[in-house]
Amino acid sequence: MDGECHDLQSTSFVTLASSSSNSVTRVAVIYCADWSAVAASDSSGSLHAVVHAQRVISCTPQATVAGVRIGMRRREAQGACPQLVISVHQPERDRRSFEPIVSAVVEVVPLVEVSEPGVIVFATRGPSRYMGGDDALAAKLHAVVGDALASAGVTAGVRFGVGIADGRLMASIAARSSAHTGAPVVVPVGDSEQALVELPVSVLDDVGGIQREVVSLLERLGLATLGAVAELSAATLVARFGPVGQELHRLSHGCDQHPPIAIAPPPDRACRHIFETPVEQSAVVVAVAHELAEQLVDHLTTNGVMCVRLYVRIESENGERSERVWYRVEGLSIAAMVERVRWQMDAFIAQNTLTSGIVALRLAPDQLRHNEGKQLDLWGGVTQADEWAQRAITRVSALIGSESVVVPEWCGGRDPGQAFVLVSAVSTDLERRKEQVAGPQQSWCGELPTPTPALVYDEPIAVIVQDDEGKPLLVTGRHELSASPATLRMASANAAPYAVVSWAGPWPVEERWWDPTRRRRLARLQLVITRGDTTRAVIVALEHGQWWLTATYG
Amino acid sequence: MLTSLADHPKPSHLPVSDAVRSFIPEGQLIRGRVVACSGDAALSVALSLVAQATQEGSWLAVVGVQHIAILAAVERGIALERLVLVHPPQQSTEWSTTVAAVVDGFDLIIMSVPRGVSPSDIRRVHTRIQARQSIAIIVNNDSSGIKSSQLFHPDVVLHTTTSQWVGPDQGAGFLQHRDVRVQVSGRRVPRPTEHIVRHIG
Repeated sequence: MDGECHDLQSTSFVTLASSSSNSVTRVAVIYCADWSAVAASDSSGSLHAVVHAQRVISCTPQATVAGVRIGMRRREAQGACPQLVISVHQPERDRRSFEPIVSAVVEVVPLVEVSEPGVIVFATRGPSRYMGGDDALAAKLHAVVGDALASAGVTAGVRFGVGIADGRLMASIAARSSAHTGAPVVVPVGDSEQALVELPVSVLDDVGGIQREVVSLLERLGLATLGAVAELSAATLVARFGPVGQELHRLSHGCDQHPPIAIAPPPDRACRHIFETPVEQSAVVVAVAHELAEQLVDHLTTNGVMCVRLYVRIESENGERSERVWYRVEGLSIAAMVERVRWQMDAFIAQNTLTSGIVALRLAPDQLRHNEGKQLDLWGGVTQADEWAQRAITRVSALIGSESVVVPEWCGGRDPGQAFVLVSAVSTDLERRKEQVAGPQQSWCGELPTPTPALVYDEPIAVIVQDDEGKPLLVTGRHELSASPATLRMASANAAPYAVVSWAGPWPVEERWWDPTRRRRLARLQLVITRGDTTRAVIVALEHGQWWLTATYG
Repeated sequence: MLTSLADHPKPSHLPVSDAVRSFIPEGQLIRGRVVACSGDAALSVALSLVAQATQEGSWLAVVGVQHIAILAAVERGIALERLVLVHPPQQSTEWSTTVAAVVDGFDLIIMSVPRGVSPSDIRRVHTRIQARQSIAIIVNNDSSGIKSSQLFHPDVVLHTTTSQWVGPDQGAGFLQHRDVRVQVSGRRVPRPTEHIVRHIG
């Protein structure tokens, strides 16, 4: 086991065991602005925005010029820029399209960390010695990323930057300002703390990961710059803000948000699995990763620490290997670790360099911090039932494919079938489900009254609805029915018609009337129908002169 | 797994809401049992059966039930953060392997049994449900699959018939609730009973 740890430290990345709690690693950050929108847009010069939960989360520079801002509601964004193309947030797509850029950077720097699509972070000590200094490294990276973006088909529209500085925060800020100027930014060694002094506290929200409310409170207290925050003692900040005060103190001095643990790591913290026969399916590797992650998290939890940076290495039989470091400031749970192994495995396969099966998988915690015991349940953490269910989800996903095991995520809509989308269960963090399923409390305008039917058809069934005289039922331009509905029968089968006992509605829907290709106009009715001794309640909708059976109260 | 089961014996039943307690035998969901829901309110009643238990920490898997509306599950009170939907393969052996794996991890399973699943595969799943002390609720909301689900020999059968819808009135109003006749029978029900229930949804 000693050998394992030594092996890990020989990579130039790790500075953990030797560092005192206040020393700062010199870090390079490569930043591609608004990556989600860039990944979603297919051609240059397009007006594109990515929307999640009805809010714009990313938009192309052209869209910004047209007045679209991050955080706008979808409707407002469309109002500001009617030609705006909107796509749904797909983290997988962002990640996949960022992969060519990551592989290009890996050619220069072997071990990098991709905390989110669009951001690459690594420690510069080894690479910059090799390249002959930080400036040379930054210039090289800038050229490499530029070439990679061009060859990936992403054109000049995307802004990207390279920043090198002491500590994550300053390096991220440097990368962002480099994205504006178009030239790499290198903050000389030891100058980072000084460079932070002048910056407004709002960077803590944009870059540092501090909550907006806290930053706004700082501003209201008259602490407008990071320098003003840095002048206060840690004790004062903790007394006023609690644990966040400690983070503010560290960030304002250019350190990382959480102090890394300087004590020697527990000996068996590197987990490794050797496959007896080479494995070809990535699902099997992911399943093994789940076991390893369980052991690892179990071990770390008993030592009162959690992993914020995880080193993952996958090796194939012919000696190809994929090494990555993954970082998450809140700490990596079992699910988060498994998810990252899966991403890395996907990237490994996508590179097309893999010629044989996988023989070894290794997870090693690279940076730890004290587990502050975020108490989730009465007895802390996860219940036995949660654990069993998560294990079963991983297992069943490996058996029948991850697209067949899905969980709902709220997205909103006025039809009962639209309110939730189904996403693969293995790729979601099951410990944060509460936030994903909770929608806002207001109801949608044009929503059908509750209760909602239990059966909603993915493909509506064509039906014929007629009035007393056998004429097809119509809805006028003012959303009035031409007559009372009397019978309903399936359009396809020659079965006997159902008689309409009672009915309610119509509830009209007029969607996107300004867009000729996507406009929708329909009217919905609730019908109680009977045939023989069965009585059912259904929802039918009229669109383009055809009635559709869309849902049944089953 | 077996030792850990012995270490922490599970409670022998799961809670149900007051509305359901009025008609379910013994007033609770008993672990290791199979409940079959049929008739025109099958899915809606099945969702109401499990809602309270999901609120109190049990996980629910919905296996092979087509067209289920998530919004309806929310309105019946199901805790969505513990709901997982599984679409198993239709082929008999693969179906039973998948369902058995699901049963291992979930307290509650709502499922539809596809046509053509063999009796031995059904028995395999049934044994697993009893060993793992889960609760399976089999939904037949259409005519297909009725035969295969009878092979389960359900402990409790809830057959629902809607007698009256309340709410819509020739263009006015909207659907509010319905009166459902629930006929309770099954292996563990010595004397079949019948209840009229006011059911929402």
